[in-house]
Amino acid sequence: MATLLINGKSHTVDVDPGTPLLWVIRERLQLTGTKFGCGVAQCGACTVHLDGQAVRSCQTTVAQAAGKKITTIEGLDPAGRHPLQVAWIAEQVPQCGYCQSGQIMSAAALLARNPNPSDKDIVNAMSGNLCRCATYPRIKRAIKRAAQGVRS
Amino acid sequence: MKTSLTRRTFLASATAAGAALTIRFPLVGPGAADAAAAYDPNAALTITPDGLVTVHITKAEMGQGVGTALAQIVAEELEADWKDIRVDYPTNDPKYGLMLTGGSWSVNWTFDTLSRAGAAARLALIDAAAKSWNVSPADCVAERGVVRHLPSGRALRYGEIVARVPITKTFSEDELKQITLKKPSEYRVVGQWIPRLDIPEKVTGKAKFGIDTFLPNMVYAKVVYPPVREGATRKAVDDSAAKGVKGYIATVTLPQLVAVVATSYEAAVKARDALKVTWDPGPNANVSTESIFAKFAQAKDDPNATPWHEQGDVKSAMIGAARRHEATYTTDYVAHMQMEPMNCVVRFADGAYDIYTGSQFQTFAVGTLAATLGVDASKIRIHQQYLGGGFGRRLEPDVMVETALIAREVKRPVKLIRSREEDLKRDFYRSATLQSVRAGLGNDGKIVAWEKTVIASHPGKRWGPDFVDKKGLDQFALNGADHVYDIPNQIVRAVPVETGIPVGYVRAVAPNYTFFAVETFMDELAKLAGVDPVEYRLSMLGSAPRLARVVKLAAEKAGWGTPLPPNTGRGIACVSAQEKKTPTWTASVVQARVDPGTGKVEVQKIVCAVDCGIVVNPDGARSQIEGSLLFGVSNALKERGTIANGTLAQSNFHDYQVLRMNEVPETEVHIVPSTEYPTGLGEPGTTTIAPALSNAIFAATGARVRQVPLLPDRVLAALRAKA
Repeated sequence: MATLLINGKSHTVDVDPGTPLLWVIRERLQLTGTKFGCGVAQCGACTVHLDGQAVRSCQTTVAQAAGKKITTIEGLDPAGRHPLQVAWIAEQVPQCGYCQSGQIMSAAALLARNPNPSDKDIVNAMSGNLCRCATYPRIKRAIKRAAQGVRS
Repeated sequence: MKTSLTRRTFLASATAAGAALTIRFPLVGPGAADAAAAYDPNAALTITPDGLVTVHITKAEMGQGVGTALAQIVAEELEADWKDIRVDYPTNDPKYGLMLTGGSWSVNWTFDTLSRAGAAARLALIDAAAKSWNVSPADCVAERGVVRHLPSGRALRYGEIVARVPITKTFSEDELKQITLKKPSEYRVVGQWIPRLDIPEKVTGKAKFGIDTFLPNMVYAKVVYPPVREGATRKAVDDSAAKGVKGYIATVTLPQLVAVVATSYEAAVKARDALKVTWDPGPNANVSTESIFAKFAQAKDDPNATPWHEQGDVKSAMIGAARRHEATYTTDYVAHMQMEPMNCVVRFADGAYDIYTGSQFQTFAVGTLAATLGVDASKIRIHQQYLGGGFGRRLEPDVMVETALIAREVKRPVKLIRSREEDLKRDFYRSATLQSVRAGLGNDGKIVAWEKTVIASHPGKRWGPDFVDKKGLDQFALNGADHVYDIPNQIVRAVPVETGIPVGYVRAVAPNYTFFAVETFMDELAKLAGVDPVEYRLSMLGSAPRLARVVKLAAEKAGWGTPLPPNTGRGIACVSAQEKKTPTWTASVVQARVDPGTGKVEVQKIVCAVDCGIVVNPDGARSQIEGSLLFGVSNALKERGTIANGTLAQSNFHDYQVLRMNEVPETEVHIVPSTEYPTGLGEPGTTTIAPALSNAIFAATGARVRQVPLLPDRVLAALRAKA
């Protein structure tokens, strides 16, 4: 048994403590915005926040996550109107969309610690998130747009 | 409450490039509808009394924005108000004809049909409104979802007509064909910057992909795959240890597969790991990249190579040529690496299979599933979901078949999720290839003879007789080798080779490698002739003026000929992809810097010019071109699938690397305004990159790299060979 605090709500789940957080979030709790892509922290599709830090949930165990504040894409903004989500629509970023929850979660952690990121900061923070559709130029633009919105 | 419709089928008859595929898109002339019922005039759309228009998208939405684009086509002629437009992705049904998404075909194949579907529904709505007012339809117009009687000013919204007025006008096939469609100058929806309909739910995590399916009482399955990609046989299965895993439910042992089923994904993984299966590795256990290329090299001199494309008299022209040149090009295996690993959920109940997944080729999947499971096609229902990337991977029904076989045994809904490792090892790759090209030049430097042999595995052979031509060749393994340059004497030969490594269709398919050889060789010949590569191409594009135009445009926008820093160069490539019959004229100039010490190539900038005819959604088009170019950069720079012990040597994103944000060059896209019939955009850009980049490396260093990917060690070897 483990108790997880996800998006402000407490969930008790009957899993081994070594179970990857990803599978609990996705397959047990059916918060499917968090995606499975590689299972080895190489693609970033499973990115969530643990106490505000971007982590790969495929490489985070339930034991490591217990007692911390877990935020998934569903909890980023109650109305789905986080400045990044607004910017993502304005820049028409997603193609297939599968990696985009992870992209947005990585970008949100970046903006939370660095509200005015340079191009280099963005590339450094985002190069762990793969997008096979290669929407990277639009992701970059959307992060800048959101950063401007957050600052103003 | 729906009345029975008189269904007439007419052929939109798109024929897939010589393959024995006839594309039937049945479109029914608007049928009669009772007042108050939904108006369901044809397979393309439904209008409900609330005024909402649902466009039924039978193409897979995998990021190309096809739902929005096809809905725009319908809305244009329907004169619908865009805010009333919805889309859905219906379950397979014979009424939708061929359900296949690929080849950059979607808009090209459906533009006319969907335009007529929308127009016919509009005319029927006008007719119904006019009858209800007892006026002539000629005095009525439809605009933004409202029919108006001009002399009296009376008006009825589409929803009101559906709710209150009998719609009786129907169209025969001939009448449908005779409908006068709008001129491009009259478009109000097509060509507009309309935001994509699927994007809002893709930024909140709400969009549902196949992997997001849950059914009551569902269990998880894991298949044990053999260590060799093809040809291994199973000797024994010992599930005694697996049975002890918490959550284990059953072992499924079938001729086709062995699998375990458990209560959760992680329990299924544990049980799978505990299952002991012994294999006879079979005849392919020693297949390797080296053995495959050795086989290719042998095939190169095959006197029985099948002529695929022929014109003029190559033999005489080659003898008479003032100069001759030849080169050999190779490309390595490429994997799809779509971000959503292959997965499927199947419920088997009452003799029918409900299949939840994202499919690019429902028609093929239904046929394969029905044959494998021994049921009628009507018992197969594929509930289409968003695709977390397709790129051709989801043309294949393999995972649907596995999941359905397991679901039939366990009598509970089954979810099968492949790990990334399984996804990559069990992929159907873009074939490795070897191409030899020979040309003879006249005294003026122009090409008088062209001879090429394409050696590759052909995916169509695995799919069956419908997917190869009479000579046993898969057109989709060869497209592009029949380029559009004015060369009087040409022969292209093909040798399909079986290797033990199954191949499939990966974004932009054959033109990735055929145009790599054509466009790199063209640069070599330009050098030999002492002519600028852009001028050289233009001198042979007299019969392809639209391609010549994008070549000029790309060169001009890229500053072709202007000086660059040391070790930096520009290369150009132009293509008639995806198919010569329905080309999107595309040219790219790539600017790259080569580190002469390490051979590392930095792609700095891509300028791409495209003429695809009418553009339905300009931003969607731009997005597709950007993505296709960067997919090409990833293929050209990084992706090398190698084979060892009969299987792919790579296992995940750490050793099969794809493009990341820190490697993205600046991209500049120029789309030529056009009123020509639209073609497609998902792939052509991809095919320009490897040759343009190889040509840029040559321009930067004088070293010619004839192997894709253009890896640092290959660049270094070419630099040394030059020195």
